[in-house]
Amino acid sequence: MTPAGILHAPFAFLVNPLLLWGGIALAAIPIIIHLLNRRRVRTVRWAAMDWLLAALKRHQRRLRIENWLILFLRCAAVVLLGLALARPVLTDSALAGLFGQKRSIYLVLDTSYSTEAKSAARTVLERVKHEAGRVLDSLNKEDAVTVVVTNDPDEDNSDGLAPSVLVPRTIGTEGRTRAKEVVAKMRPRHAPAGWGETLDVVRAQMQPEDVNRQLIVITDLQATDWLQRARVLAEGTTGDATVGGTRVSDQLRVLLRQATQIQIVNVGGETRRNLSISSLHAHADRGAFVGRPLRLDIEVSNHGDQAVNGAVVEVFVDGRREPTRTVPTIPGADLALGRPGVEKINVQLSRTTFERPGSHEIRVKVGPPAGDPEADSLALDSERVLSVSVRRRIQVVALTTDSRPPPNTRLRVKPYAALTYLSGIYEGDRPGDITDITALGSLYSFDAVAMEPQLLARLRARDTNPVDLVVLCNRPLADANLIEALRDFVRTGGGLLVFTGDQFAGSPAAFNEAFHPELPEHQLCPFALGPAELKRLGETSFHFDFDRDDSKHPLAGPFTGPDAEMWIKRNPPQVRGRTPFIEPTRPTPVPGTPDPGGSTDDPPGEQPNPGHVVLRFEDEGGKPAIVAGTFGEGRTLWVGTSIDDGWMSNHVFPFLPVFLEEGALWLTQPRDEGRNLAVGDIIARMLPPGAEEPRFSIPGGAQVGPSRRTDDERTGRSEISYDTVGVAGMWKLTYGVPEASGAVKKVVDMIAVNPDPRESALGAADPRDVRGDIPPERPLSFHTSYGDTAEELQEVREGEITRWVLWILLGLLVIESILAWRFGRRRGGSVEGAS
Amino acid sequence: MTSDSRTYLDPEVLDRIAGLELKARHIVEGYVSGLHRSPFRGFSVEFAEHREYVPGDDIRFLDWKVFGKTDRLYIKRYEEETNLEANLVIDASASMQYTDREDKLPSKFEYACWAAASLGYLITMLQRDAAGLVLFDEQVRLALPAKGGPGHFRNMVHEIERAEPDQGTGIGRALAEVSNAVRRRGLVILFSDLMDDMREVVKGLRQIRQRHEVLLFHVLAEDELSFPFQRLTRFEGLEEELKQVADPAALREAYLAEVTGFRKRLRRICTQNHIDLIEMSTADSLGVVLAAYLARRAARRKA
Repeated sequence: MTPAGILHAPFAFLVNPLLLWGGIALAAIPIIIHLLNRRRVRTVRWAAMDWLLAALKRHQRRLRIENWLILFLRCAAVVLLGLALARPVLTDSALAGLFGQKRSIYLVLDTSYSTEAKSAARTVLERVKHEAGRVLDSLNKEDAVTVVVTNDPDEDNSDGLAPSVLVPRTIGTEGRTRAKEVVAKMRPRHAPAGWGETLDVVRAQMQPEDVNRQLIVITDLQATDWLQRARVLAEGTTGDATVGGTRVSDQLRVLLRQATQIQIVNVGGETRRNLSISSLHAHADRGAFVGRPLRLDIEVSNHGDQAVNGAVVEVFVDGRREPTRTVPTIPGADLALGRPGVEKINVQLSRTTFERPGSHEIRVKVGPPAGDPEADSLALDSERVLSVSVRRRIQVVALTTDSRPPPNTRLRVKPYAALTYLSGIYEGDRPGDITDITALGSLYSFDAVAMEPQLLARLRARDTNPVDLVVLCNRPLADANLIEALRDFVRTGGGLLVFTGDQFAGSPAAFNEAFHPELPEHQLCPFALGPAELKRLGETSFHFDFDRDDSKHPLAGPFTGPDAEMWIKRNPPQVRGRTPFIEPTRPTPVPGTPDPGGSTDDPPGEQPNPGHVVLRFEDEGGKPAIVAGTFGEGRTLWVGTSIDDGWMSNHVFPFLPVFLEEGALWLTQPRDEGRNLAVGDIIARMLPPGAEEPRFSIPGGAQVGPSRRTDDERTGRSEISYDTVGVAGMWKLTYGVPEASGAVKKVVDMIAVNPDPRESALGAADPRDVRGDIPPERPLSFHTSYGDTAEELQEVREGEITRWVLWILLGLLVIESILAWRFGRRRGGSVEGAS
Repeated sequence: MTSDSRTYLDPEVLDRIAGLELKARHIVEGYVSGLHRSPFRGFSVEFAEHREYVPGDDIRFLDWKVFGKTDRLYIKRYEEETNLEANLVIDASASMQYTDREDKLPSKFEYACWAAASLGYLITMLQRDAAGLVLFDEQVRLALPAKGGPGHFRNMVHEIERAEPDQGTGIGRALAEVSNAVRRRGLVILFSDLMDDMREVVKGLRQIRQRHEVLLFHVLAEDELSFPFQRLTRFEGLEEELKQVADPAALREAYLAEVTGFRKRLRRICTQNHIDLIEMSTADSLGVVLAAYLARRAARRKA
C-alpha cells in the first residue's frame, strides 16, 4: 500500500490524501453558501413585525442551534465525502480485520534460464508454476492480482533480459483466470533475471488503491541473479557477498514501505550442481583458414561443491563429431566466494577440419560422468556454440614501384622482396614464431600492381575478385578517384598498409593531402606525416623502439617476450631514412570508429583513440614510427619508413616478416567480428552490394527479417541488424548475392549466441544477504513452499473503511434531511384555524 | 388589485349579498322606522302587548277602547322598529398597505375598503338604513356621519377611494374617538388587521362595545397567514423603523404559532364581549365571505 500522502497515522493512512484535503476545502462550500446567502438578502416590507419579532425572540436560541447543527452536518457530509474519496485504510491489524478481507497480490515469477534446471525429475520452472497456481487458487473474488515475470516471454520481439508484466492489475476471478492461463504458458528464457529491474517494474505496477498489498516472489533465489550480478561489477574491490545484495535489499526496503508483506518462496531445491561450458574461443585472433589447423580453448566449469571426475566434452564442427574428450577432474566450486571450479581444455582441430571457406559452426557440449548424472542439472549452458569464419587466403594487392612478380626467395632485397613474406612465410602458432619459413603462397594471394589505374580497377572489382589488404609501398597517390576508392575500401572493412619512409616519392604535404586532409571523415591516416629525414653514410641509423605505454597493442606482440627483447637489445632494428608522423597532442576522435588498437584490455565504454602509436623511433623522444588507425569498419597501418633494403638488413630482418604477418592478419581481422554474441546483444552485419532478402533463422526454426536495414547508396552495401536476440544457439543469416551470370548466390552467415555463463552458478543466495540490513521485524520472509506461507498470506493487516465512511455519510445525510425538515425547512405550513 | 383599477363595488359581491340583510342584533336607535329593533316604544306601529296601568304610566298610552269595554286601565305597548345607523370604521394605518409577495392580491386596506363599500351599499342602498364612515390610523382622520340615501353612499365611496394608508396604528385611541363621535347606539363595523398593542385593541373594542354592536372584520394578508418566504429575508416594518433579517423557513413554525396565538386570543376576547369576529384573508373571495357571514348572522338572529 502506498502512503501516497502525508496523512499517515500509526493506525491508518489514506490512499488518496489529496482528496481529503479537497473534501476539507469543499467543506467550506456550505459556509460560503451560507455567507453568500446572507449577502443576497431579499427585502420585504412587512406589516406583522410584532409577530415576527415575537417568534424570533421566543425561538432565537433554538434557531441558532438548529442553524449551526445543520451547517455542521452539511460541512461534515462534505468532509466525509472527501474522506471516502481519499479512501482511508486502517493499518491496525485488529481493526483492519473488522473492515475487509481484500488483498492485492503481486506475483513475481522467475523465468530466467536457471529455472530450466532439473531436480528430482522436475524443473525449477515447473515448481514455480505449481506454487504460482497455489497462490492463484487462494485468491478471493475481490482480490486483485498482478503477475510479473523476470524475463519477457515474447521470444520474437524481446531478448528476454527485461522483466515483463504478464497480467496487469486485475480484480476478481477474471484476474485469476488470466493469470493461470499465462502462467501455464511460461517458458524459461535464455537470459538471467535482473531482480533490480524486476522489482522496479513491480513497484511501477503498484496502484494506490491497493489494500493488503502482498508481494510474493517465486524464484530459485539464485545467488548470481540476486547477489552476484552486482558483485561482479564490484569485483576487484571486494568479495563481500553483501555488496551484490545491496541493491536488491534496497529495492526490497522500498517495497516494504509500500507493501504489507513480502514473501520470497525459494523453489530451487537443494540440488544445485551444474556443469557448463563457460568459455569457448578459437585460438588465433588471426582467424581460421582452409587447410590450417585451429585450436579451440574451452573452459569447463563445475558449479557444484563436489569435484566431478570424468565429465565428457564433445566437439562438433558443422554437426560433425570430433573425437570426444574426457576431463579427468573438474574441481568443485568455491561456493563461499561464488567461484566455479574451472578446467581448461585445448582441442586441436586438424588441417582438414575446414575444407571450404565461409561460416562454420563449432558446438561444444559437456556431459556429466556416466556414474554421476546429477552433476549437471541445467542443460542449456552445457552447450556452447562458436561461429568461425574460415578464409581460404588473404587477398593482398600491393602498389609498388616494381610490379614484377616476387621471386620465391627471401634473400632478395628489392622493395618488393619483403612483400614476398606476405605470400606465406611461416605456419607457427605463436606470434613471433618464425622457425618454419616454408610453404610459400599457402596463406596469401599476392597481387602487385605498378599503376594507379590498375589498383583502382582492382578495387572496383573487389566484389567479384575480393581484396582483403592493400599495401602501398613508398608510393604517394595522385588520383583522387583512387583515394576515394581506398576510403570506401577501408570503410567497408578492408585493410590498408602504407610504407612511407625516406624513399617516399613525394612531399609530406602531398601525402597529407591524400591521407590526412582537414576533414576528419576523410582522414585515412590518423596522424599527419612529418618531413623526411635521412642518415648519411657514417651516421648512426634510426632505431626503432617500443612505445612502452602502448606495448599491449597486438602488433607489438611479435616484439615482446624474452627472446625478442634479448634480440632487440643485442641488435636494435635500425633504418637510414624515416618520415616520422606528427603525433597530435590531443588526438581528435573520429565519430563512429571503434578502438583502433583493437586492444581487448581497454576498459569498456572508453572513447576509442583514432590513432595508436605501435612503434616509435628511439631518439628524440620517440617520434611515431608505426601508427595504427581505423576508418569505418577497416583498419590501417602506417609505417614511417620505407620497405627497403634496410628492413632486409640483418638487424631488422627477423622482425619484418613477423610484423608483416601479424600486421596483415590484424588488418584483415575486423571482418570476423560480430559473429559471436551473447543473449541480449545486437546482431549487426554488413551485406555486400545487391544482397537480397536477408533473413535470420532463429535456433528452433523461426525465421525473421532484420529489425533494421540501412542502405548505403554510395557503396551499394547494406547494414542490417536484429536487436532482440533472446534465444541462445546458432543463428543463421541467409541472403542472396547476385552474380555476374545473373544467378543468385545464397550466402549463409552463422552467428553464435550464447547465454551469460554467470547464470550457470545455481547456488542459492543466503536470505541474510538478500535481506541486507532490513530490520528483522519488517515483514520480509523466506519460505520453500507456498504452503508455509498460506496462513500468513491470508492475514489481513489493512482494512479499507471507505464503505463504512460512505454509510456514515449516508446516515449523516438522512439525519440532515430529517432535521432540516423538522426544523421547518419544508414548504407549506399554515396558521391553525385560518380560514 | 391595484389602486388604478380599484373599484369597491364589485357587481359579483353585490349580487351575492343583495338578497341578504344586515340587521342589528341588538337594539339600535334610529330616527325612522326600519328593520331594527328600537330602544323606544310607542313611536312605532308594531303592537307588542297590554299591561295594566300602574300609577306613573304615561296616560298617553292608555288604551281607551279597552277601558270602554272593560273599565280597566290598560297600557298599550308597541314594539318599535327603527332604522339602522351603522358606522363603517376602516383602519387606514400603514400596516394595511401590505399586499402579498407577488403583488397579485389586493392589499389589506383595499380588501377592507372593498368589504366596507359592499356593506355600505347593502345598508344604505338596499336596506335604506343610515351608514357612516370613519377612517382612522393613529387617530380618526375622516368621519362621515351616518346618513342614508344614494348621495351619501356615493360620498362614502368617494372618500374611501381617496384614502391612502400611510401612518401608524392607534386602534385603542381611534376606537375611543369613534365611540365618542357616534352618539346614537348602532352598529359599528370595524375593518382592521389589528396590528397594534393587543391591550389597546381590547380596550378600544370594549369601550365601543359599551354603546354599539360591533362587527370586527379582521383582515390579514394571505402571506401573513402562511408566511411562505423561503430565502433569507430582511423584513422592514411598514409602520416602525424596524428591520430584522431572518430565515423564514426556519422561523415559519414559530411565526405561525404567534399568529395562531393572537387569533385565539382575539376570538376569546370577541366572544367575551359579544363581538362578531369575521376573519378574512385577502386571498378569500369577498362575496363568499360576506354572504356566508350575513347568512349565518341572519340564521342566528332568527334562532
